[in-house]
Amino acid sequence: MTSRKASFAAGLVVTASLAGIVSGAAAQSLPDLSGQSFVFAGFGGDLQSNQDIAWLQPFAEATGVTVLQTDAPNSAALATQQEAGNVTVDVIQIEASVVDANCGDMFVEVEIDRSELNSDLDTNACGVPVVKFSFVLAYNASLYDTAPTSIGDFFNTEEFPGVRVATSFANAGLIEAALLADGVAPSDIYPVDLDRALARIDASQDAIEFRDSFAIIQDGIASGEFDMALIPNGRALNASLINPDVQVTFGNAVTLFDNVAIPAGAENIEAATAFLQYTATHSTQVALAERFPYGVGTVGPAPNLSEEAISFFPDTYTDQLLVQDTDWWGENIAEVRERVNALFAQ
Amino acid sequence: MVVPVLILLGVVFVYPTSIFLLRAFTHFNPPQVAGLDNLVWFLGDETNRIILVRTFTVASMCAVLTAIVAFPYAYCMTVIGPRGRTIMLGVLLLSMFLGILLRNFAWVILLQYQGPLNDILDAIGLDRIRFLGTAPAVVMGMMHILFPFMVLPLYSVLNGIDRRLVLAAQSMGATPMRAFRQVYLPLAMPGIIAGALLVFVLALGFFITPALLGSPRQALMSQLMFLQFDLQAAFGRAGAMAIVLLIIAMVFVILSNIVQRRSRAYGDAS
Repeated sequence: MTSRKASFAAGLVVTASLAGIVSGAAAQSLPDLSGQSFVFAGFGGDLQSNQDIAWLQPFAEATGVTVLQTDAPNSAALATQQEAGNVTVDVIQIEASVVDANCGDMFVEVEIDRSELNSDLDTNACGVPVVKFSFVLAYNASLYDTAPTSIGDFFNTEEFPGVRVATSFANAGLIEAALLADGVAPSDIYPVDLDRALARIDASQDAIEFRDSFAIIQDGIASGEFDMALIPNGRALNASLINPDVQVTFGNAVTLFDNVAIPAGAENIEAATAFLQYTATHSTQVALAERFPYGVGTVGPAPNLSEEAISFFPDTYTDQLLVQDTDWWGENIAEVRERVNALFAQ
Repeated sequence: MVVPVLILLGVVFVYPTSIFLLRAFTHFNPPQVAGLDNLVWFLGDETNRIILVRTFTVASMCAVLTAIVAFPYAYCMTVIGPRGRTIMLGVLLLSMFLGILLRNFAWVILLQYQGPLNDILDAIGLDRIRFLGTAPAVVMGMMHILFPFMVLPLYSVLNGIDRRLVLAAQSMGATPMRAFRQVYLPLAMPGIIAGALLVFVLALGFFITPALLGSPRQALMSQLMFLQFDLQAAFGRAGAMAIVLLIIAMVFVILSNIVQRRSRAYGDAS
């Protein structure tokens, strides 16, 4: 269950429709793709339903292409399909580190105009950086006189008592938060000292509740089951719409982003490439950000956000964020998963 | 009629299952490289063994506790009138038809810290308990979902028991308790074993309930398989886990057959 994929239950939380109107495919010439189709695999939940409105529907309308959707993409399913020579998805959304590590074999290189992309996030020739998000520290503000200022405060049970909760997912902010709590400076987090991080988590294991799903955590922080949580910023916003006491700190919030990319063996390369080009424009990415507060992988004027959304939006806090080293995670995530699993099982 | 069913089973069950199990011996992620490495990996790793034993314990608890809870329900169904029986069966089937996610989330709501169960504890002056994320919460949720699988086989056996035998035992001086224990219970045993076995085997593979009501600290086999299969793309390791689970399930099926045969023989002899 990678990061937000646990959203199979996210339907419980109704997305409040954030202000902002789809700007559509402004000022770009899109090819005529009528009669063609492609399959888009996103993370499901609120994110994908907003992507449908902000990206897929306008693109289909402008080009005549038919977009089919599925969710829960993962590298295992993809590897199986590729082994069998039967790849059923054409555009997949997946963590940037996965595309970085597998560009050229698992994913195909695309020739598109990358001039509007943020060069810091544009790290490979296969994917388009999209959906920048942060693992924030969400907390119940009615419980604390002074607000926490860093995700490292997740481990500070003396100053901030209360029930805290995190997922067991390897790459969901917990490793970095543990190092911050242990006194590592934000600039020295990478490469991660895994032994040190796990020792810090182990020392606090009894003070922390762990869950397998972000949906459960989002629900629990809104209902008062939990007082403090490490969750993606979009889920924190949704929890705050139900319970206004839920607030967040973006201090050192681990920030990463996804790619949309075309898996090798995909059948509808032409339509998929055109869609990647479409997502590589600022106007497309802003249209999504204005509906759901995940940041953009492009450069240009800031999106027009509602007041609620703006305090949950990563780009509001650019100088506070801890931008994740995707190379380190791409190389080490398998090991981190095994070690975290072993830590929790015992 | 049988041929299409066999073909369907062959295509959608036998083929993919065989492929999956075979991968335990053909698909390797380093450091496993060949032969029985995946099985050696599974049994040699302490984490895996802890999770296997935990899964076994949870499944056994589910089987025993569900049997205890379901027995009065199934018994009641045999003595109540036809209308009452229809209602009891309807309630049972209705809960089966509701989606499994829905039922698990219902338990999240019931058990949560600010939920109704805790409100009751609070109202009678007890402390609130953090149920969610614990093994008892998982067992409770699983028992609810597995309850019909226990009641239905049990009911079909109990319904066939001639209750006059119990009266006969009592008329010959047995206390009600003794008549129940020595006459009714042995006759009910095939139903109890069949139901408990079904519950046990199903419980071995539960994924959603432990994921929603439990915590990673009480991970079960299915969660470990998810990690290896879905996240790590280690199909061979997941296949090795499936083989271990399959063997455990088969051992229990064989054992229960032996026990059933014994109890039947005992029934004939008496």
